[in-house]
This record gives sequence, C-alpha cells and structure tokens, in this order.
Amino acid sequence: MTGQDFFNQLQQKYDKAYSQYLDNAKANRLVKESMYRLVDKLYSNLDTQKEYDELIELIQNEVSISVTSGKAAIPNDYLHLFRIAFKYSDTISFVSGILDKEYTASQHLLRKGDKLNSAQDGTGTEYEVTKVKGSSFFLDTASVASPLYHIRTFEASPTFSDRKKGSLSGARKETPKYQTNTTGTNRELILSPSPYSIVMDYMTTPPHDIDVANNATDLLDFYTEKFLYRLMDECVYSFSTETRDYNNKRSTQETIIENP
Amino acid sequence: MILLKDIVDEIRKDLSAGIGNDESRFDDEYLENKIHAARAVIISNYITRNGRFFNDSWIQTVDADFVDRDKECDAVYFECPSPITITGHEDGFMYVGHVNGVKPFLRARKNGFTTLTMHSVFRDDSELYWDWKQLEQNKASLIVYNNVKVQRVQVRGIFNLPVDVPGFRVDSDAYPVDALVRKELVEMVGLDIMRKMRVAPDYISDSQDKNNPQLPGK
Repeated sequence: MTGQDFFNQLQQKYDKAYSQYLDNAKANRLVKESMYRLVDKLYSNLDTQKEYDELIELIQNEVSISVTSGKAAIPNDYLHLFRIAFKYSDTISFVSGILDKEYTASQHLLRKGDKLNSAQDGTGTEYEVTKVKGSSFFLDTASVASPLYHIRTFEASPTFSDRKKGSLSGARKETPKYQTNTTGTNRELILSPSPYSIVMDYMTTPPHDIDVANNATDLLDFYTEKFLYRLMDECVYSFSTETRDYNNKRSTQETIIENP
Repeated sequence: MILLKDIVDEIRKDLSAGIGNDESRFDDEYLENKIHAARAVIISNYITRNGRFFNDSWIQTVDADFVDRDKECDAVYFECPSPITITGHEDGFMYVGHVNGVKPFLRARKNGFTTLTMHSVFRDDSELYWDWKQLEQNKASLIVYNNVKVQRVQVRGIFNLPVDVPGFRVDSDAYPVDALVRKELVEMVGLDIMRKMRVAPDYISDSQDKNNPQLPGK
C-alpha cells in the first residue's frame, strides 16, 4: 500500500464532494495529525496483545542508554515511555580464601546464585556465586582477580516536581526514580540515585510521514495493514470534525467502535 | 521465597484492578512502611491470642556489631535494631547469646536489674546478662554485662523494620513473614488504604486545598 493507495481508499470513506477542500498538502497534514491521535489512543489502551500488535513498529523494548552524571539523553524518536529499569554496578573487593575457589570480603551482601562481572559495565567475564558463608563466598572459578562487579537491575518509577516533598517518596537503589527535564534543546531524564546505565521500553514517534501523492514507498514497511485501515477511519473522524459534519462524525464513531 | 517487593506489588495490584503500573500513586516506601507496621501488629496479635508460639520465618538473626567496651561497669555495647512489642511484658527478642545459637545469656530486665552501678548485683554472679535500652540520648544499645571480653553475640528476634537489620538485602532476602501473615498483611494494608482513599487526592501545590477549606484558596 503506497501513500496514493492510502489516499484513494481514504477518499472512498468520506464524501467525495469534499475533495476540493482536501488538497494533497491538507491531506498530508490531516493524516499526520490523525496518526498522532490514533497512536495516542492506542497507547492509552495498551491492554491486550491486539494493540501491541498494531503498534509493533513503534515499540522499542530493552533499549540500553548510557548515563552521564546522573542524566540520560532521551532518544530522538521518543514519544511515550513504558518503563525504565536502572542498572547499578557495585564493586566487590576481596582476597582469596584458604579453600579452592573461596574468596573473602567483609560486609559483602552476596547471595548464592548472584552473577559477578569482571567489567564495571557488565561486558566482561561472568562468574557465579556458588556458596556463601559468613564473610566468605565461593565462585565457580578459581584464582579470580579482585575486584569484581555485582550488577543489579531495579525497576524505576516516575517522580514529579509537585510531589517530591513526601518523606516516603524518596528514591533508593531498590526503588529508583526518574524525571524528565530539558537542558537547552536536549531532552533528558534525571535519574536518582545515579545508575551506570538504564534500560528503557518506549513508544517511538510514527516512523514515516505518509505522503498521499507518493506512489513508490510501501507503507507496510512502516505500519501494519490493520493500523493503516484504522488510521483511515481516524482521518475521516478528524476530517468530519474539521468540516463540522456531525452526521459523518457520528457514523465514523460507530465504525470505529465496531472495528476498533 | 516471599520478597518485600512481591508484597508491595500485590497490594498495589489489589488496589488497581490487577494492573500495577509505574505511575501508581502509592510509593514503594509508603507501602513498605505500612507493611512493616502491619506485620508487627499481626504477629503481636497472633502470639497474644494463640500463646507462645513463634514461627521461625518471622525471626531474623543479627550478628550484632561491637560498639564499645566499658571495663568499669563490666559492660559491652552492641548495635542492634529495635524489637516489636508482643504482649504487656514481652518484646520481640527471642535469643541473645553465644554465636552458636544455643547458649542464651540471661535478660537483666526480667530479673529487675534495670541499671548497673558500681554496686553491681552481678558482682558474685558468673552468668552473662544482657539488656536492650536507651542508655545514650536517642540511641539504643544492646548491652552485655559481666564479661568485658565478649566480642560477638548472636541476636534473634522480631524487629520493627526488617529491612534495617544489618546485612538484609531487599532484592534477594526473604521478608520475615509466613504465608499466613502475608495474607493477613495484604488484607490489612489494602483495607487500610481503601478506607483512606475516600479522601480525594490533591495533586498540585496550587494553594487550592480541596480537603481543607480553612486554608487559603477556597
């Protein structure tokens, strides 16, 4: 389906008598606005797999973003957030113990099954803690050099400027918080307490602006077919609002309810 | 294993029709504090009603940190978190004694020895005594009497804030409750919040307090 195909079908859906009103430039603007409206409507009702399937091209999961001084740059294609998890890297300094694969570190909080990494950012060799006893812990490998890094991931929740005062609303490593911020033209997230990296699931802005005159680009490379048909209904809805055609608006509303 | 975050999530889901999301108005710390308090009440009630039975899953072990030694008074001080209240004459300490866990010291307070002076009643006694009290301003200590050489003690008990027990790791260590206490705890906190949710939240600091017409803005 090209932009032209899309427009042809869209014109069938509304009264052709309005075609003079809707030239190509107006149609492009209408489609773009309706696109955002539809995407937001679907975002607000992401309850079931159906909505996720329709928006599949707009969903980015497990995107790693680096952090500098407690701030992370928001990706350019960011529209809405689903979830952020903070990654923390605790340094474990230790000395070799008496037994094979035994190491000791005072006041450590390691537990059996924890994974330790040789690199601070988790990209090095991984070791597993096989046993813990008092200040000793055992790894699956002998003669490991100190220090190692214990990487833990915690889900974060948002904090808002007007709700920060509560003493029970603080950020801790186990329950970290983020807030959106702008510095100059950069949109960023302020992260507290500062992690070394974050993992983000978010919804992108629509990846392609539909041009109703274009006959070469296949829109199915960017959107699912069901989404495009639903978008046509949304365009008719916006169009009937703009032309004050309330009969058409109501009948489109019914169509959308019947074909969500 | 029952983790604190699982209980927090369960309560949050109970209050939001099965879907807990990031923007829940219930902060983790807010719910956690309600959970700690409910746990203390439920365990205390259980023991008061059902007699002296303690499920070991309610109890935490502390390797108490040595703080100070007072040779003049034959006393050794340790750091220890505060215990819950169980009945009119019992608190949450279950065991204070040798680190092997089977050699308890005697509780001084139970015998009426609430203070220690130069005329110590322990003078001719070879037993070790202990107590937990506020001997310094705003600071409670666990004190072991009658042997200044004691360096390590094991403390087992039911504490007010289980996550503040030294060495407790919130993301991996079992929260000290059993399934029965967990169930009652979720119900108690859930009902408590439902009752209070009748108050409409005032989201924005805009000098318009919806709930208190006496304040400016109305």
